[in-house]
Amino acid sequence: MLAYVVRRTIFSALILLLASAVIFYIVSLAGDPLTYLRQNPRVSPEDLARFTALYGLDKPLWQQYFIWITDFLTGDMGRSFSQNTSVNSIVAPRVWPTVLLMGSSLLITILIAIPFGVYSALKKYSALDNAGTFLSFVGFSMPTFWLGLILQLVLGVYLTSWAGVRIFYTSGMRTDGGFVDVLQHLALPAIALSVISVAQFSRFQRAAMLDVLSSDYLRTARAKGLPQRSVYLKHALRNALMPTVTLLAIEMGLIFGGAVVTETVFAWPGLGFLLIDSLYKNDYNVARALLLIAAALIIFFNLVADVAYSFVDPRVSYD
Amino acid sequence: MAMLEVNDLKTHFKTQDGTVKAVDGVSFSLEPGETLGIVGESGSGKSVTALSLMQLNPKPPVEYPEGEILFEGQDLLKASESRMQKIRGNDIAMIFQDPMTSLNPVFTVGDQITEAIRIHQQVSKGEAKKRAVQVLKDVGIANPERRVDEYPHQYSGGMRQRAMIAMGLSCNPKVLIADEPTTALDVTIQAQILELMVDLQEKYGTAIVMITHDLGVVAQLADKVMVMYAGRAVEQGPTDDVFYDPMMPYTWSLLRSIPRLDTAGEVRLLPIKGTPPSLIFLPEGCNFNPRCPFVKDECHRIDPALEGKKPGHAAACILSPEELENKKHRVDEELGVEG
Repeated sequence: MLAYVVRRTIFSALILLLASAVIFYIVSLAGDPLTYLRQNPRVSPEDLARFTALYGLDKPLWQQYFIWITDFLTGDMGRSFSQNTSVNSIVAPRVWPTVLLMGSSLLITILIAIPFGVYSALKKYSALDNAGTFLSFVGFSMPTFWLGLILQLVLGVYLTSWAGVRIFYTSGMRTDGGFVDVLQHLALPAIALSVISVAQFSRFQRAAMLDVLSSDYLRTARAKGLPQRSVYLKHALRNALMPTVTLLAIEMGLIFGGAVVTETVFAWPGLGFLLIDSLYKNDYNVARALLLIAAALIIFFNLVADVAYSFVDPRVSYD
Repeated sequence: MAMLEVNDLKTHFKTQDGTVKAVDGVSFSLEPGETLGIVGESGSGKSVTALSLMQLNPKPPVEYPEGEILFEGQDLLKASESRMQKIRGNDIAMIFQDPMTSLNPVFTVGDQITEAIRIHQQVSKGEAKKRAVQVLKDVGIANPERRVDEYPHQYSGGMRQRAMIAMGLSCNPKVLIADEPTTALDVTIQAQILELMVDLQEKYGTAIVMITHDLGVVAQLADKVMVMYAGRAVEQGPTDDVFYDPMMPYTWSLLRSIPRLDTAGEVRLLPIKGTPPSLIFLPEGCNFNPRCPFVKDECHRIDPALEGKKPGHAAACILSPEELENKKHRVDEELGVEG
């Protein structure tokens, strides 16, 4: 097991290194990061030359990459092109809002999707299951940005004018706000994000549970004289949760990179919003840092998923 | 009164296309220590009969419009679910066809056996585990102390079926229903498993319902046989009588369709032509008439009921024993069967 994890970690590091080169190169293709300085008539050619040297843009691309990646490995993500500060200090305050948003959405998903999926499978084709099928279809097909706008309009604008008090905020979040304030800001983007993942995971959980319900070992469990409840909750659920656990672990890697669309619609001060912002501003080092972090998270949580699988399924072992 | 008595059991599936009469009026009885073999092709209603005894058919779509299943005088068709839970595993246990998928992959074999014990008996975990080790030993698993803590995937196919049998026997049931227990196993293991079941039956006095499509298994184990076709019992009687003097052309055809070691190469096999009928659209008259080698005009009109042909031996066929004997004799001569 340990040997497997070590081997996978080494392998992951190599993949990540490869990813870093690709990320660096592709982002550099987008053009000249100093465009906004060149367009500014008050920036003299000398200043431009000084900036070019400061950012190492005069060096060949491969040298720039090696400088960037070595700095990155020592924990320095480089300097921002658009703000006179380090990428570290730009990214750091964005981490918590993203973790908060994604964490709440994940929690909502787990708390709703798994029980609902299991229930739908147990009461297949019941009114509630059919309603679930329909709603999942709707939720799944709804574009996030549209859902976000509708939520802002209905729960933000209409509700506020109807109730006379502001219940939900439509954008942003203050880091110094109190708990209630944070919740008021968090609610709408978290709901917007959860709708799709609840739709997705409840379907997935339903399918997994249905699969298990028709299995021979459940018939064996019934034939032993087990009450229906333990047949479902002990014998079926344990098996039906295995694929979900894996998928959730992989999903975590994807989402902590930030939800670009949702964060942008709600101006949520997280990593996803920052990524879009940095791309608008040609702030390549910020974009590169965010992309590499996202890649690292995906690779890491894939490893976590594999290891987690060996804990939930005794048939899987990595010896 | 017999320990287990099934009278005119009907198990019907309500489907969109119509009612599937999976079991349509089956009767048999079983005494302690006795073995009944239920033989038939796939879809003849063997397994549904077995699951009916345990009340494990999914309801809906399954209905039991008629009949009774008397276990020690109590009608299981009328028993409550909680009463059935006390009977399942404890009084009537069942082992299934495919040992590879019939054990839960995420629990140890020991857990699954102790669970069965602890549902029905007030014993401590430690005591139940000791019993689990003992039954694993009884079914011939080497190193049961170590094996009890292993997962099903660490067992071979034959060992898993032994574990299934161990689980079935863990509460000393009065009736053990074995639904094709050896079908998924290779031949050498099959023989071991069958021998094991006979040994355990002698030791515990368990009555066995052996469901199979393997006539050899029945000949070896069963005291009496019930042959099923299209949801009905078409021949019933003591094993020797049924095998040496089959009274229903279907049984006879089954016996003529399998090779025998003593006459290999000398005797041609007689395949049963066609396929079993759809249980929704049964043929007019006798269900077997489209495939029967001895069919005559009346067979298309008359649906024969199971009737006694000899003491203790019943068959559903309108041919008289003499008529049947002549027809069998004629075909046998063509095939090269002696006597």
